[in-house]
Amino acid sequence: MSLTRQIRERVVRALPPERLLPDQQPAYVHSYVYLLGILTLVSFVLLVLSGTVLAAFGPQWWHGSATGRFFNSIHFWSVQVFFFCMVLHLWAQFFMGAWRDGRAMTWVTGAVTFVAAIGTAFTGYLSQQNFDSQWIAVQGKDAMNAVGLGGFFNLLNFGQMYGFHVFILPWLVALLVVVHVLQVRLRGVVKPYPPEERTPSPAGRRTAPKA
Amino acid sequence: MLSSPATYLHFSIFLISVPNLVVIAAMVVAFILAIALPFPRARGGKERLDL
Repeated sequence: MSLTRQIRERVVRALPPERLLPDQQPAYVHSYVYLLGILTLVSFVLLVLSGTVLAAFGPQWWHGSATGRFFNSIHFWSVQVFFFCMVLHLWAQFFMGAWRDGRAMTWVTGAVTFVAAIGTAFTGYLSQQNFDSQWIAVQGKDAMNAVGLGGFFNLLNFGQMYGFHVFILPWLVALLVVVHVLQVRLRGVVKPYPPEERTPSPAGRRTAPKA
Repeated sequence: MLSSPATYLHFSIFLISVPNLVVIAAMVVAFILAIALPFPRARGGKERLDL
């Protein structure tokens, strides 16, 4: 059997189309809490689109023209929404115990995406080309030197920070997001915790849940 | 107003700017609302418990 066929059959077996793009959802997904992940994803798409426009025209345009400032603001507010929703998504999944029933990799890829996104946002602040980015770079370089990264990761080097921000880290985040979403499709959304069985005591107090 | 330095609140070892505190409070409120508000059900929508 050819390698192409082997790969195709393996992929289709692991992720059949009806599982990859389902038109039915479990009843417990009927809650706004389950929208936080997709809101994070939507703001990430907006970030990539607005960032692509900014990269095409450059710093003089995004600081010096009305349209440039508009796209700069779209990019800035998209990242606010992105982190706002991602942290709420993290809280929700933590309290749901989203790593249960074989979903450890779903949790791990989500957590690693969060860390990679922090690096992407940080290099973004360094790439603004204004006094704010200069201040952050001068303050942050001491932290990098203190942990021994300063020799390689130089916050005062705009070209390096810009390269990390527009190429290396966005690709990493995008790759992690794809793996994370595929993990969710593969194993489904985690079921809620079963309701606790409690037996009322004679005094009317609730006792500890049964084991 | 937006270009002026932020006001900081200082309690013992805790130091936080008012804008950051407002964002954290907004996140807590949004989280509670996301759990508490009833989600509208789609007409004729399909849902199953065994997925």
